Amino acid sequence: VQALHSLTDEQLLERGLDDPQAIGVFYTRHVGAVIAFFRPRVNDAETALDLTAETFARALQGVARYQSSGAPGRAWLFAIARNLLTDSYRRGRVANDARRRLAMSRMTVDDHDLERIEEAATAASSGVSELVDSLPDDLREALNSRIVDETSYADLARSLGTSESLARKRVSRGIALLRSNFERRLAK
Amino acid sequence: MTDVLDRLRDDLVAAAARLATQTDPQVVSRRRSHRVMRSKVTIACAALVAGSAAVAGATEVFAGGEVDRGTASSGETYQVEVKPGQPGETCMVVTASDGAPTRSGGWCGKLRPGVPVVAWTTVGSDLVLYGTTPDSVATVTAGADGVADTQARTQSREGLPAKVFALAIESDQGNTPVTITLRDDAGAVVWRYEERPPRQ
Repeated sequence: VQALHSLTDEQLLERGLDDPQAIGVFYTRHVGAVIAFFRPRVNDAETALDLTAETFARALQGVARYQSSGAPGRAWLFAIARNLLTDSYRRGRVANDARRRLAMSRMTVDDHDLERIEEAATAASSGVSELVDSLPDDLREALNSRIVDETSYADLARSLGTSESLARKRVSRGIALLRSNFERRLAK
Repeated sequence: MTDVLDRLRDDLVAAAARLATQTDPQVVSRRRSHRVMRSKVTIACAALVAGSAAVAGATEVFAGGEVDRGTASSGETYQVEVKPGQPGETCMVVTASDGAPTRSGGWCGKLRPGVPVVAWTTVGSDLVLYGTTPDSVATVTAGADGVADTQARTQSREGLPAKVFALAIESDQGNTPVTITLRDDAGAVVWRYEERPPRQ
């Protein structure tokens, strides 16, 4: 398992169906961020956990298809999370199709577990928030508008008073800088 | 006491192990459903375009209703029927040859680039695709599990109507925006639809 930690997300997912532990490492790497994504968007920690569990179950189910897509692993995972959230809002409940098909047990949680989920969400989001805050103003504004508020590039360009192309570049530069800072922080 | 997140990881790893050995009949069945669904979508799109010389005029061409039949690459046969949908829309309804109502899928839309398209397919109880409604924008997904299909390409050539088209769902950065492209046999784009990023 230790050797798996040195692999990239994409390499882990490519091994996913052959080496179950690779999925475990991928999960460990991103579970905090996924919980942090869901927690502020739902009413309670248990629902956030439910969504997180279903997201990873769907990812596991989709690993075979991922392997031919070549998409960045993390972006792919968050696309699943986002779709699940949209679907859950629409249906008014969290789907459990993937977990049911994979025969995964339903998680029962106690107060300690709920605290743990809140901690994980806070830890993951606060770390990223600090890094986002450290970005130059123009990049931070573009990144927040596009990623957090999900503003379209056309609307973003209008609000920034720039061209759409420049708005895209700002977001792209913001992500690149954020990633670089994040990796530097992990390396410490 | 084991951490709740560790328990979830262990459960996931165990599921991955079961999946690796493919001993779970539900999983095997699930994979088959994917193939069937993709074939059906391809059939629907193929027929959708095949019936019209000019894509822009497809709504009018199809409004009167047409029926075609196809065989998916999985070997299952389907009936493809064109029906009018909401005002200004055209629907493709794909039904299994046994007529089972739960095994049908469809595709509705205004066939002009940039105009919202609603698409759906059901296999059993699974809602597979959905697009936009007049007042909201949802994410287009492909796959009975709702997993975002970042580069799903389907192509089925067996027993389909005379002209065969491939459906490509492409994405950029986590499936947003989504582009659905229909290409003819020569690879030329005959219709393209771009989905806007989802907003909640």
